[in-house]
Amino acid sequence: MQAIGKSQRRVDALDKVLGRAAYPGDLTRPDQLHMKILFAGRPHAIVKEIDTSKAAALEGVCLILTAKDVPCNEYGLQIPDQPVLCGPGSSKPYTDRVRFVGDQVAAVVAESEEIAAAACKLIEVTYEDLPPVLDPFESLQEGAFLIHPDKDSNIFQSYRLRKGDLKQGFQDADVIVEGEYHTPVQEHIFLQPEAGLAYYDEEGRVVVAAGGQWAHEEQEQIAHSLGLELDQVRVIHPAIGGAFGGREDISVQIVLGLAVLRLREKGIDRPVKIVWSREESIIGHHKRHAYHIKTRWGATRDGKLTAAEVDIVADGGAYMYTSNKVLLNAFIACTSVYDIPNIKVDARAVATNKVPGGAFRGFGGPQGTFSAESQMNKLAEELGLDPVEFRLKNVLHKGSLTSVSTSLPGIVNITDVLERCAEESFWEKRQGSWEIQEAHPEPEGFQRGVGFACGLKNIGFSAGYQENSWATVELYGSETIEEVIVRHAAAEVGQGTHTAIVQMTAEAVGVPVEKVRIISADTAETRDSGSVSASRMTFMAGNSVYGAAKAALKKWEEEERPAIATYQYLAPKTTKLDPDTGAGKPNFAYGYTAQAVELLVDPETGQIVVTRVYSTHDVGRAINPDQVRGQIEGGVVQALGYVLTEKFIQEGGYVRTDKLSTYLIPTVQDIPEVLQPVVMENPDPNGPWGALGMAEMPFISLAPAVTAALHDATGIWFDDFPLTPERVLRGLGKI
Amino acid sequence: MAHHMISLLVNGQKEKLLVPSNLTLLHVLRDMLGLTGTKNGCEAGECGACTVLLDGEPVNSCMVLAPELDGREVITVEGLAKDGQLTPLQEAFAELSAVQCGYCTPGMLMSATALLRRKPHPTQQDVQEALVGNLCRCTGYQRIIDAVMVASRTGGAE
Amino acid sequence: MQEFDYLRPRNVAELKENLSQPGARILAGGTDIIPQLRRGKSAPKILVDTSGIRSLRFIEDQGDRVVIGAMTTHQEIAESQLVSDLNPALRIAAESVGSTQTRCRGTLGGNIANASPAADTLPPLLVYEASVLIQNLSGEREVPLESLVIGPGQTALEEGEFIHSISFRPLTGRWGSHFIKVGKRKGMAISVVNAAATVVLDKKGSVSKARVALGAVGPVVIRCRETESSLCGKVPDRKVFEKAGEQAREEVRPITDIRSTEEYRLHAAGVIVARVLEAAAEQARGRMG
Repeated sequence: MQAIGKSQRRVDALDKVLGRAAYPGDLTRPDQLHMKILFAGRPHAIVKEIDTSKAAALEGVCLILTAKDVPCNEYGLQIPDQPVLCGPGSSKPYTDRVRFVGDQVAAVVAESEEIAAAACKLIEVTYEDLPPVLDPFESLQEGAFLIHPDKDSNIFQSYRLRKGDLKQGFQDADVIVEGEYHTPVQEHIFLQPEAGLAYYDEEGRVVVAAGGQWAHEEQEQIAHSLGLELDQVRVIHPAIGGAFGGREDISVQIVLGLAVLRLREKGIDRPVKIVWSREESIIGHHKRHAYHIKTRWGATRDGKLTAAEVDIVADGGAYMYTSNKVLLNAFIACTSVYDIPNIKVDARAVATNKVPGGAFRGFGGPQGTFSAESQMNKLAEELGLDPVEFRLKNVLHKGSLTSVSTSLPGIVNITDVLERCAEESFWEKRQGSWEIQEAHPEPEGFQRGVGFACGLKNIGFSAGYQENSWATVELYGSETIEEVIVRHAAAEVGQGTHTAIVQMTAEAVGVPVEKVRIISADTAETRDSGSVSASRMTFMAGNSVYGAAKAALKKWEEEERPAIATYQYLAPKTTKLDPDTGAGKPNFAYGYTAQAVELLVDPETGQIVVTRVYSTHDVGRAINPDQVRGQIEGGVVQALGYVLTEKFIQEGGYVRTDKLSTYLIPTVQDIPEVLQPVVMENPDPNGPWGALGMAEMPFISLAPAVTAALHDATGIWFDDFPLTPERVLRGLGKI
Repeated sequence: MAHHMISLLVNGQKEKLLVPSNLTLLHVLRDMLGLTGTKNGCEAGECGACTVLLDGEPVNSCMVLAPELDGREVITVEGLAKDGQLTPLQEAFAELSAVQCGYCTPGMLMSATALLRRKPHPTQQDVQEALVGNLCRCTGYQRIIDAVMVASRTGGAE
Repeated sequence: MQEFDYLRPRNVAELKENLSQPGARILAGGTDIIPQLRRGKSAPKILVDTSGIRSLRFIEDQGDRVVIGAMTTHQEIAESQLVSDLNPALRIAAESVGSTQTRCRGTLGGNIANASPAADTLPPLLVYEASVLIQNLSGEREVPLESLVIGPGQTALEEGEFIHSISFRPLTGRWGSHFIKVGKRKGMAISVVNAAATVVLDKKGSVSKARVALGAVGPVVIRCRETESSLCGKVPDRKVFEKAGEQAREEVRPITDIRSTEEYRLHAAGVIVARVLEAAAEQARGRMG
């Protein structure tokens, strides 16, 4: 291995430390115009009338777009259920409604951002308010107000699982633990708010340069709404300031494209730029879903799980986004890594008039895992067993049947991952069984606790989707290969995928990394790579690059100069789940993870200090060890924010926390004293050089590990979070 | 509206600009001078992405009005490397993977530069105090702290 | 951001002139007013930027009083040996405000004039019974800080008036002072509750004088006078201070808002009053009388 397994410096490092990397808001073109969006600012209403006359009369206003200007007024990643612009007179039924505060009603294009903003204020919109549906359980009721009147119910998606004989399972149990868990909404707070620039290129294509996670999908959605052919739209990804799932859905792209299209029709051929403020970003894009999970697990006295019953309700917010897929992940995660003979799960994702739920690192995994792992920790306590020991008695092995009645693919070494985490952290093996080590004395005024949790997360798209990724490898030179160009569309959102792709290409071709250059981020230059999500890109890109390199090398040997080959990697097939039983083979690879946490809590103020975190992951193979550790450190701190401080408040459908001073993410002073990534490398049979995906794994089980530690410190279970000081004191009965 | 003629030094270069009174330093840099290395993250002084040095002190450029800049000196991320030579801080950020998405990086570098100029051999705690106003959502901060510590051993801010 | 005229006086005389114009408002460090302008929450016709007035930026020991110019930044206060020696509570509070970037801009005068119920520098100044020198075109007046701040975002400053400086009398004898805040995260914490206290011990080690101020538990930062008087003559120990904390809860009327709840603030106020008193007493015990 000459190129992989090394902590190669990032290919974009130099541009980023010099301030040269151009993010969407940094792009400018001569003569550009500026766009501002008029957001609905109300949770549920019919737009009766939009009067743009005063706004249009303002000097410097060039164009005002409303619903009637959108050729095909619908979009959406999974289903096109959201209007591009909400209002009357559009081509689709029920697009005259706003369904959450961040729905877009009009877009103004003007000579400056200030003029566009002033014009937005002059647009007079007449609304007929509708009753907002805010509670997902109310939304589920028969007769609930239909948020999408063209549908039969407010349920976006449901899944059902029946394995074994649940009744028998609970009869066999000596101990039954019931729990009701609530996980909160989380906002991505990528540092770069949404922005973009649109223009026509020399070939007459509508170009949209904006941050995203899947250029070709964005191209498709823009083309669909604009009524254009796919090849009339070009998507470019500039440098992207973080994503974490939050750029998987469309934000500014379609309206930008629409603006240049309509301007050209008016004979104005000028680029259009938009930059969202932080507040606009916070109301304008989707969030991690809030989940409500009611569950009941049974186990025998000697610590074998017998049954699990789980009821899941996900608050989907106004539109589908990826609620259906997020729900599938939670559905699988809600029994975590355990071999349970009898299981019943019912899961629904439901519409409400709140900010939509969608992709965010972990994608339903953290929610399902929180309930499962909390149940395991409670059962261990009931049974008087060590939480690690109890888990080891129940984990899935190669060949065991999962909740979906099939075995896990690849290497199944959950036991090893758990034991490694236990050993690295606060446990030791005495006479063959794991026990918590003697505790350190706690500082005065604090109570100390440790906790453990684990989990799994699929790698790649699930349940019957034929996973695929394209790559092209080009070899230049005469006698020897002097330059290698790899074309791959993977979005570099900060995770380091371009660097990993360069390393894997160098390895596959057998040249030093310095000879490899990546061309990416442009639908005109690359073919579809799929999304940077589901911890899939290293796995998918690596395999496609490997295939393309092999084919190019063959051509090179046949004296072709340059030797160019394009290859589409197809991942192992998966299947849909049976609608009645949930049985199926939804995934081709999983990552396993175990995490141990130590914290101190001040029982009088309720403040928590997480002191140590050991985050253990089998990554198959670390293509770039520093980047792997960076993902673990970043993922853990993001998860700490989720469980401790990040409280997203919506009241009556209105967002109250639209600032970084009210929505609180961790600062550099809020990190643990010790954050130890523990990286295991057992090559996956299908992964490129054995590599698995890993970017979501550090997020999966941290919340239940923290609540377990808090229980250890205080004797109280916390079944919802964030664990703000108020929440902790309420739990302790102090307020 | 009132406009003001200001003269200031930006990265050692003398600039004379006619600015409206309600323009912030952030927009002077990005929109008037094309120095887009300084990032806009919140325009409320809450994220630190727009940090620059104003007469040597780290400030959020979104919180400084343009007319105040008359006679002042501003250094931005573009002013760190001299003749293509990275500063030890930039070198350490690149080498230690202290950069992921990179959007917080310019602001981090400016806060860290100010720290090392004031205190060439900081403790980890000093680094955390100095960078607390610079949010990062990617790295979990540890690598950034490490990079500043390494830079403090390999040559400091310049 | 809306439009306004911008003036930048070079000295106090010019400042007085500038501020006498109708619709004029002071811009100090800008850390509060610039976000307000951006959000349209403030609409002055004229902004008078005082950042160029060097004579308002000082920390001086004038013998019986410590005087701090209104334009002194939080960073300067946090780094001042004089403040550290004579009002440690103020140093800790100044150091805890925002980030390095906001401390380098935000000023003591601005923090007072902004009159946030959660302002961190106010409790340490209140427990030192600080007074504020106010000037305008026609003269000057000195008022106790406590009477200057009258409501959330409201002060008794009249049109044309500005804060020149803040002063307080150092404590003597066996004294201690401390500041504690409770926020929702460690870095860049905004106070959910904050408290400052001074304790002076007599020769026998009993409390001869104690002062306690609490922030973010009412419309303005308040002194807890009953708590203070209940401590007089007591031999300081944890029990006494815990009781003082309970007493302090009787004196405050916190509200529920976006940052916290009434119940939490009430509870935490009592806790930190006890802690801040204990720390101040500990300091006093360590000081030779």
